[in-house]
Amino acid sequence: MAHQEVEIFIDTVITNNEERSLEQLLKKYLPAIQLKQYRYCRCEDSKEFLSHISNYNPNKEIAYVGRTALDLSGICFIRFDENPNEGIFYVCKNVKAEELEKEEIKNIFANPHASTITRA
Amino acid sequence: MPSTIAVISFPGTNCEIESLRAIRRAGMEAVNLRWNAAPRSDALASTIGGYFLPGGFSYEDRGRSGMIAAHDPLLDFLREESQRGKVIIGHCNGAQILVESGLIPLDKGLRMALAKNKISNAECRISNFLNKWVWIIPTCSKNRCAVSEWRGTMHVPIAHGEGRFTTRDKDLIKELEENDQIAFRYCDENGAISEESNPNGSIESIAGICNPMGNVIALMPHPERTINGDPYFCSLNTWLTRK
Repeated sequence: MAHQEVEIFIDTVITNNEERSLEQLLKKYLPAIQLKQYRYCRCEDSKEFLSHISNYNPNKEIAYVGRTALDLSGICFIRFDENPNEGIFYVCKNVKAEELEKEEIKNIFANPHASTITRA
Repeated sequence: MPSTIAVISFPGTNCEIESLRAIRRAGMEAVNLRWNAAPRSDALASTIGGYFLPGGFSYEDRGRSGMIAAHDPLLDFLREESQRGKVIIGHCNGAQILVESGLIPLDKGLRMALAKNKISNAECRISNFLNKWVWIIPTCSKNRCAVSEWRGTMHVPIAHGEGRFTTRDKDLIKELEENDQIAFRYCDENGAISEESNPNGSIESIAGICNPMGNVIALMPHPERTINGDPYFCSLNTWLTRK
């Protein structure tokens, strides 16, 4: 029987400095924006994936399997670089979708010549 | 009077010392300025002949390499300075900042990326970080840009994870070639350019690009880390003296 793909969202236990810096930069253009970011992966066997320390370090990260445990109220999208199954998942609050569609804003999340961003 | 080059440090920059040394070895003056103390007025800038953005990990590469620094107001000032003909050079992380700011290649928005290395053999395949010596060769005409007035090959180190020049703009490379803006390419010891001599999968083996005026240069290798790179910096001195 074929396995079904599951989504895994990995958060950091301590403050995610990258997320904070990105939010600070975005506030230059969108002062009210609130940003949350997760490391994102799609795989068939979440247990197997999470058992590798290179994928997930339980001492400093928290993993969520599936979307039900997360607060995803906001505009969500994923940045993929080269691997179509791994990326960065962003949740943006206090911002309108059309504001995020502006090129200068999209270019902060991803360089269009190296990455792809997809609404999730 | 020798030209003064301002070596700019962002939080996380770590190649200032060798950059200052290389500039001074080539007969120029060099001063190290923090990004938040750098000149942003014409009066202060009049004492500076050019700007150098060294390598490192500005803002810990948060988001992606060079992106946060590229949005610093200082880059708006450097853009104005480049339009006045001042030289702006970025090596490694400095090159990433210039590409992310859009100053390279055309100062018309984000036209390319320095993406994660593509490494064909087993070396550093997990992290994609390359730390090795490579050969580069100037592939633009001799006086095309501020640092290209030397010929032959140069043996220089590279140390980067995101150094692969790439673009999804299908006409850009042709445009850069027509403008003679592909300043440096990776090659072998004899100057032959091939897939084997390209360490990171960079499109057209590009190691460095200049802007249309030739006064803004983004180069991934580190000629400042070796005396092999002295002709590169002497070329800069010649360019500034001539101006």
